[in-house]
Amino acid sequence: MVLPLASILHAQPASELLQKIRARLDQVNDYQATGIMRTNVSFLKEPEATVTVYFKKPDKLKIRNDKGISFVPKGAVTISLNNLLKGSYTVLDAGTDTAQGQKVRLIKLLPQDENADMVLSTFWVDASRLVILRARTTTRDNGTYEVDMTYGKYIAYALPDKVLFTFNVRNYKLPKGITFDYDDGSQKKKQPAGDGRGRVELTYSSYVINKGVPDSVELQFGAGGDLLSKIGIHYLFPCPDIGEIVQIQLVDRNVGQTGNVVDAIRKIIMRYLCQPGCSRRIDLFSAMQQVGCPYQSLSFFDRQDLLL
Amino acid sequence: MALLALFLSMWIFGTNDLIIARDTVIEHIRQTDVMWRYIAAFGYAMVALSTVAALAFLLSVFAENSIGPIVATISIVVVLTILSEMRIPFYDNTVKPWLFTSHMLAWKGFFYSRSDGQGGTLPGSIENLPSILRSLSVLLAYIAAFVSVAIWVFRKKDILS
Repeated sequence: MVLPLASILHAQPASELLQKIRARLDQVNDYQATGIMRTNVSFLKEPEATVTVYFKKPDKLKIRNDKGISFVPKGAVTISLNNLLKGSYTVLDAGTDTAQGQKVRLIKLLPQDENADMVLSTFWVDASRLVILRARTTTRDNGTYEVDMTYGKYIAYALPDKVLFTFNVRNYKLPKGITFDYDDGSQKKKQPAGDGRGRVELTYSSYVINKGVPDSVELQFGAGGDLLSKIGIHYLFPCPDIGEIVQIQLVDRNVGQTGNVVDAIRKIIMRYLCQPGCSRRIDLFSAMQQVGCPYQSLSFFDRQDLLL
Repeated sequence: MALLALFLSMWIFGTNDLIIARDTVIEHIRQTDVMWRYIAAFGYAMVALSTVAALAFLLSVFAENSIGPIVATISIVVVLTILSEMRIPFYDNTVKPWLFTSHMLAWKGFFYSRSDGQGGTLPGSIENLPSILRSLSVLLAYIAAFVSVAIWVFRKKDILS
């Protein structure tokens, strides 16, 4: 009777565990990591690529291939744990499970923001090493993806040596080719069905931590609706679906530096510009006034007109 | 023509990795792995066009003007290409293997890389080289046949100059 009681007393609350992990991640302001990216998607034949991953706090991530092209899945910004743990959420202790052959704590996160893209996140946490071994995130628009992490020499910073990112590809259809394929007879063999999932594996060889990220690297928050760029005091947000870009000029440059106003603007744009129509623009104006957004001018650009 | 097509494009657009959009898969070939494929594909295309030239040569032996063989050659190539690309199961094993137009597209095979079994590709590899070589031998056989028949028919004519 004493032993189970001792183990109950010993188990940390889930929120405290996540706070500790977050504190470890907060040690990293930026990093530049070199690694090899392998893609395993049913409709893609992609060679191995040597890529550089740039990260800047709080949630900017870019995967760059200096020697050519690389296909990177849309939700790849979640490869960074900082992006998975950002925002405010409710923490639920879901007991224990097994991951990578060891017993782990299972923690679920429910976002408090009703309009957040993330609907539910589940983490498999190694409490002894204070690292997340696996994360499964369900999003509103982009399905469910998983991130499996293996740690090695950079475990002190909770930075993985290897990341396996799994995402849905079931509904993707290739455009019909204009020219005919060469029929060599092998195409007559039935293609294996696959599990409808794509995988991207990043094996990092080195990290350069907290040494700054070159200015030439254009870091982005993420796809669709997030901050596209900042040119002077103009903030530009791409608007999903309607192909327009909103330019907002903030009166107070320092206000724009904090996350809060930018986040508020982003959420307003996502909410009001999800469908085309002039009335939506008027709604955007009034919504931003209600929020008290210190904007000076607001204009809309056609995506093709704006060269970035 | 080949040099103009390739090097002029490189001069205008620059170079980078190559993306091949096939029916069921998108292939990605690294920049360093592209040039030799182009050279091989152009070499194969020369043989393919030589087949068309040999057909025109054969038809010219039967005609007394030049327009007739030209039109006939193009018509034959167009019709046979349509038959080659029709996706009718009955044709796949009975008709298509015998049409030289089915084998003219084999130059594309030089841009299909072999998979490593895990979704990646093997640089420097060709997905189905035996098939390309088989198509090449078919085209060479057609060239030999067309030219041989043309020479044989020509020799049987009364006036040989």
